Amino acid sequence: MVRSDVQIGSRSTQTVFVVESNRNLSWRQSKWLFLFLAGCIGIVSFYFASLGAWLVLPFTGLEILIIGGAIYAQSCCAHRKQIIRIDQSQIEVDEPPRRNALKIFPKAWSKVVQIHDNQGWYPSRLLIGSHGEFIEIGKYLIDDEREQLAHQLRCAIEGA
Amino acid sequence: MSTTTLTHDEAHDHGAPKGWRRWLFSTNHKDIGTLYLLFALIMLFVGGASAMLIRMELFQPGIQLLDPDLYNNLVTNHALIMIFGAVMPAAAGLANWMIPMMIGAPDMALPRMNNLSFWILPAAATMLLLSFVVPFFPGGGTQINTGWTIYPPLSVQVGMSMDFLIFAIHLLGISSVLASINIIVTLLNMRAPGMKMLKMPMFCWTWLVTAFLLILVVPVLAGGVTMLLFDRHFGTSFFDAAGGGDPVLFQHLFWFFGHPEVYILLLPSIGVLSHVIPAFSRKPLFGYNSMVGAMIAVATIGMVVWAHHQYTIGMSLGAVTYFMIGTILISIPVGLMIFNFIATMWRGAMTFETPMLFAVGIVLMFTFGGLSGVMLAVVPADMQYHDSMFVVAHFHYVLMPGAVFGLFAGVFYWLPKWTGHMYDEKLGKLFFWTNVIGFNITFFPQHFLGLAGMPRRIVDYNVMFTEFNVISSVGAMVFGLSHLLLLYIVIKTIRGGKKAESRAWEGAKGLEWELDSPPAFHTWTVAPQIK
Amino acid sequence: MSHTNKSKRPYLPSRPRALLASLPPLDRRMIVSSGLLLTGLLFHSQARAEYGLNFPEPAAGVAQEIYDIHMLTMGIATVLLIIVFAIVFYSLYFHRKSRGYHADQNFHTSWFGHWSWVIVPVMVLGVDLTIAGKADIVLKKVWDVPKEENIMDVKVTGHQWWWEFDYLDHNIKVESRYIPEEQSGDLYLREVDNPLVLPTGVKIRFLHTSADVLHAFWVPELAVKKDAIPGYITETWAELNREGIFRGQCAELCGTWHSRMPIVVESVSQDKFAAWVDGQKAIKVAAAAEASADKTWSMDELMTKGKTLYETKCAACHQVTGLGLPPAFPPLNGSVLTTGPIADHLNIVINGKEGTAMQPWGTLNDLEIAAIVTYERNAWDNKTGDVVQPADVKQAR
Repeated sequence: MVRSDVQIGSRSTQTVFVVESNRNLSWRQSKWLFLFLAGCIGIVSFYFASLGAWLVLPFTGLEILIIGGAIYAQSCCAHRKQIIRIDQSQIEVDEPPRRNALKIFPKAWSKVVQIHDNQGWYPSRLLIGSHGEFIEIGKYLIDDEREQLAHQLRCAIEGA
Repeated sequence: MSTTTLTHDEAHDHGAPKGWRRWLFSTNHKDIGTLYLLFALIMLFVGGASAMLIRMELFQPGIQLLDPDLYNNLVTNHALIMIFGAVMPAAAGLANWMIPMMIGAPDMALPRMNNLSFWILPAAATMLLLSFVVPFFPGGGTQINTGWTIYPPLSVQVGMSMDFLIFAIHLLGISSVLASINIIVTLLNMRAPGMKMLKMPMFCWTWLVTAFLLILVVPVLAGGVTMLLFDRHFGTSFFDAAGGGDPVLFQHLFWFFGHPEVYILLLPSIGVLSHVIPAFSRKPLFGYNSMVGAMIAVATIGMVVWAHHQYTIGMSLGAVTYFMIGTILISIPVGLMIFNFIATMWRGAMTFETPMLFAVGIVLMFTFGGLSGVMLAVVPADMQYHDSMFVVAHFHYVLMPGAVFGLFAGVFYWLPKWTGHMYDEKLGKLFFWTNVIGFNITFFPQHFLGLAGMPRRIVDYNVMFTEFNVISSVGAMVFGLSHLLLLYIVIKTIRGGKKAESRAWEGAKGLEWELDSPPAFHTWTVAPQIK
Repeated sequence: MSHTNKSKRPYLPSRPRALLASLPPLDRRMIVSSGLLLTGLLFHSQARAEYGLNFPEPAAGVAQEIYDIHMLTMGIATVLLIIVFAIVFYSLYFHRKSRGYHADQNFHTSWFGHWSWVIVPVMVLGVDLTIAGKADIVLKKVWDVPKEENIMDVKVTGHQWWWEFDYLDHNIKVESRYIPEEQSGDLYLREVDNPLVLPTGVKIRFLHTSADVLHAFWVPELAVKKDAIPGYITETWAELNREGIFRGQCAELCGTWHSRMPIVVESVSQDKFAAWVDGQKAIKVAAAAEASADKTWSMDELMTKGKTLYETKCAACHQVTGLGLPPAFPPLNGSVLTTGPIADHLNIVINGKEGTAMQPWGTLNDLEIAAIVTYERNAWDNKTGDVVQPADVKQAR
C-alpha cells in the first residue's frame, strides 16, 4: 500500500510517500492469534499429560515455539514500512521501526531505477539512490503498485 | 536527473530458475503446489496398487497371493499412503496453488517453510517404503501386521520396520504442521485489502479450519508414537499393562488424532465443492455464513468425539453415552452442509461437466456414507458393526466421495487454470462413470459382508462370504484401473489441448479466474478488486 | 426372530423391520445373482454356503434389541436417503441449462434462505433425538450386566491365536482352536475343535481378557463384542433363548493368524449342558489320574503325545517346523533353550517369560508338559535324546 502526501511547511514544500506492506492483523491481533492457538494446544496437551501421556508435552511445546516464530516472522514482514520525504534539495528514506535506517540522498544526483525480469520469473524491483548507493523501495508491493510508485517518485524528483 | 530501466539479468547474477534446481529450491507457491499434486498422484497409484493386491487376495477364499503378514502390511500401507501420501498432499497442493490466487496474495506467507514442508514428504515416503522393504532382508524382522492404527501390544511385537514407520509418521506430521502454520498465517494476514474474513472464498475457510485441526491433533499423535517407540526400545511401559501402563491409552491418543483427521481429509473437498457447485449451477452458494458456521461446528464437535472408534474397549456407561450423543450430533452441521449444496443446485441452471458430475456424485454418495455413519454412532448397534467389513464399507463411502472425489472435482475444475488447456471433456466423463460405478461395485457389497459376520483385516475367509467378495474384487479392479484414465487425461491436458480462457467456466466466480490461464509465475501484478 | 422377546418391547417400530425381514431368502438370492450377472461374471462355487444380507437371526435377548435398533436406524437412514435422492434427481432433471432453465439468483435471499440455517438443524436434531432416545434405552440394557447371584461366569481369554474359555462356576476350562481346512471343509475358519457350550435360559456374564495382544470376541447371534485387552477385564452378558450352533470370529486384528480365530457357541438346553459339564469333569479327572500315575513313559509314547500337543498349543507361534517367527516368536529348532539344560527349558514352559508373548503353561498337567518338552528336545534337528518324565515336571514346579 502506498500513501502519498504533499506537506507544505514553513520553510519548504515536502512530498511524502509512505510505503507499507499489506496486512490484515495488527501486532496486537497477531499476539492474540498466537495466544489463542497456544492456549488450544496447551489445553489438549495438558489433558493428555494428565492421562499419563506426558510425552505429548515436548511435541506441543515445540509446535507452539514454531507457531510463535512463524507468526512473529510474518508479522515483521507485514509491518515493513518506508517513508520517503522529498524536499527541495534532498531525498530522505526512513524505515521507522529501525534506528539508524535513515538514508539521505542529494536530490540532484538521485536516480530511480527499475529492474524488470524479462522472463517473468521474478517480480520487478525499484531502487532509489545516488553515487552507486541504492536502496530498494517497496519490495513487498505488487508489480502494479510498484510501477505507479516509480512513476510518482520520478514526477516528484523531476518536477520540483 | 535521469531514470534508467535495467533488465533483470544485467543487475543480478542469478537467472531464471531452471532444471531440478527450480523444483528443489522452489519457494514459489505454484511450483510447490505442482510438486504436492505430483507427489499425491504418484502415491495414489502406489496406494491403489496395494488396495488392488488386497482385493485380489480376497477374490477367493484361501490364501493365494499374499502371506498373512504381507497382506496386513499392505492393509497398513494402503491406509497410510492414501491418507498421508495421497489425500493430504493433494489437498495441500490445491491449497498452495489456489489460496494465494484466491485471496490476492503474491505468494504464501513463509515461502521457505513451504519448500521445507513439501520436501519432507519424499523423505517420509522413503521411510515408509523402507518399513515395507526391510522385512524382506535377513534379520529384518516381521512385517507391520497391525493396520494403520498400530495398536500396542501388537505393534510392540513387530520388528524394526515399526521403527521406520514411527519415524515416517513423525516426518509426515512435521510436514503437515509446517504447511498448516503457513496456511493459517497466509490466510489471516495476507488477504487483499478489503477482503474481510467473511468474504474469503469457501475453499480458504475450509483450509483455515483444516489447518487449525492439524496443529491441534498432530503433536498428540507424535507423542503417542514416540511413547510406542520408548516402550519398544527403552524399557518404558506406557502401554504395557504388566508394567503398570495402559494399552488403551494409545487408542485414545491415536483416535484423538484419527477422528479429526477424517475432517482434515474431508473439509478441503467440501471447500472445492463450494466452488464447483455454484459455478455449474450458475448461482451463488446457498448459505455462505451457515457453511462457515457448520464447518466450525463440525471441527469443534469432531475434536471431542474420538472415542466412538473404541466403543468396545469397555468404557463406562456415562462415557459411551456422551460419545454416542456427540457423534450423532455431528449429523446436524454435516446435514446443513449437504443441504446447502442441494439448495445451491436447486433452481440453478445446471450443466454437467466433469467437476460437476463428481460434485453431484459426492452429494449423493457422501449422504449415504454419512447415514451409515449415524448407524455406526449408535453404541448398541456398533457392538455388531465394530471391526466388521461394514465399517470398511462405511469409511470408504465417506472418504472416497468426501475426500477423493472432491479432489478430483477440484483438479478437473482448476486444471484449465493451471495448464492453460482444457481437458478432454469426453474422457473426463468416461473417467467419472467408470470410477463411480467401479467404486460402488467395490464397496456396496461390503456392507452385507460385515452384517453377515466377516471381520475386517482378515486374509482368508469362509466360503459363506465368497459371493460378495467376488463382486467387490471385480469392482475394485475396474475402480483401480480407471485411474489410469485420470493419469492419461492429466498428461494430455498438460501437453496441449484447447486454449483455456481466463474464466475457463461460464459460471466461475472468484479472484483466481481474473488471472490468465496459466497464470504468470508471479501472480497479482495488478491489485485485485474485491467486490 | 424371537416372538417372546418382541412382545416385551412396545416401542419397537414394526415397519422398517417388516420391510427388510419380509424379503424371503429366495428374493435375496435373486438380488445377489442379478448383481453377479451385472458384473458379467459367471461364477460357480462348488460350496453353496449360506450368505446373508443382514445380521443372522439373534439368539439372545440383548441381541434381539440390538437387531431392532439396527433395523430402526437403517430404516430411518433409508427413508432420508430416498428423500435426498428424490430432491437431487428432481433438481438434476428440471433445473438444467439445457432445458432452458434460468438460475434463480435470489433463491438464497428468500425467507427460506434466511432461515434455513435454523430449520434444517432443527429437523436433523429431531431425527437425531429419535435415534439417540431409542439407542439410549438399549444401551443401558447392553451395558448394565445383571448383578444377580446365580449368573454364570465365563472368562474368555484371547490368545495368539486361540480362545480359552473358563467356566468359573464349574471349574472347567476349554481351549478352542481352528481346524485346518482338510478336516473342516466348508466350515473352514468358522469351525473349532472344542466349542463354547452354553445353556439356554441362563444369564451368562462374559469376562473378556487377553494373554498377549488385543482380540475381540464376536458372535453375531449373541451380538456382544468386546475387546480382550491384556491387563483389563471387560464384561458383556447374554441370555440365550434358542438352541443352535452360532459361529463368529475374532474381530480385533491380533497378528499373523487373525483370520484363524473362529468362535463356535453351542447353545444347548440346561439338561444337556449339565450332562456336558459332567462329561468334561470326568475327562479332567481321567487325565489327571493318568498324569499323576507313577508310570514311567517311554520315549515313543511321549513323542506321540508331545507332537499332538505341540501342534495344537505351541505351533501357532513357534510353527510346526520349530522355526518360529523371529523376532517375536523365537525358533525352537536348534535353540540354546531346547538343547541346553532341561531345568531351564521346564522353567520357561511352566512359568513363561516375562515381557514376551510366552505365557506360563503351568496350567497344563505334568504329563502334558513332559510330553511337550520331550518332543521339543527331540523333534527336528534337536536330537538330544532327553526323556522328561511327569515326575521331573512335578519336581520343577
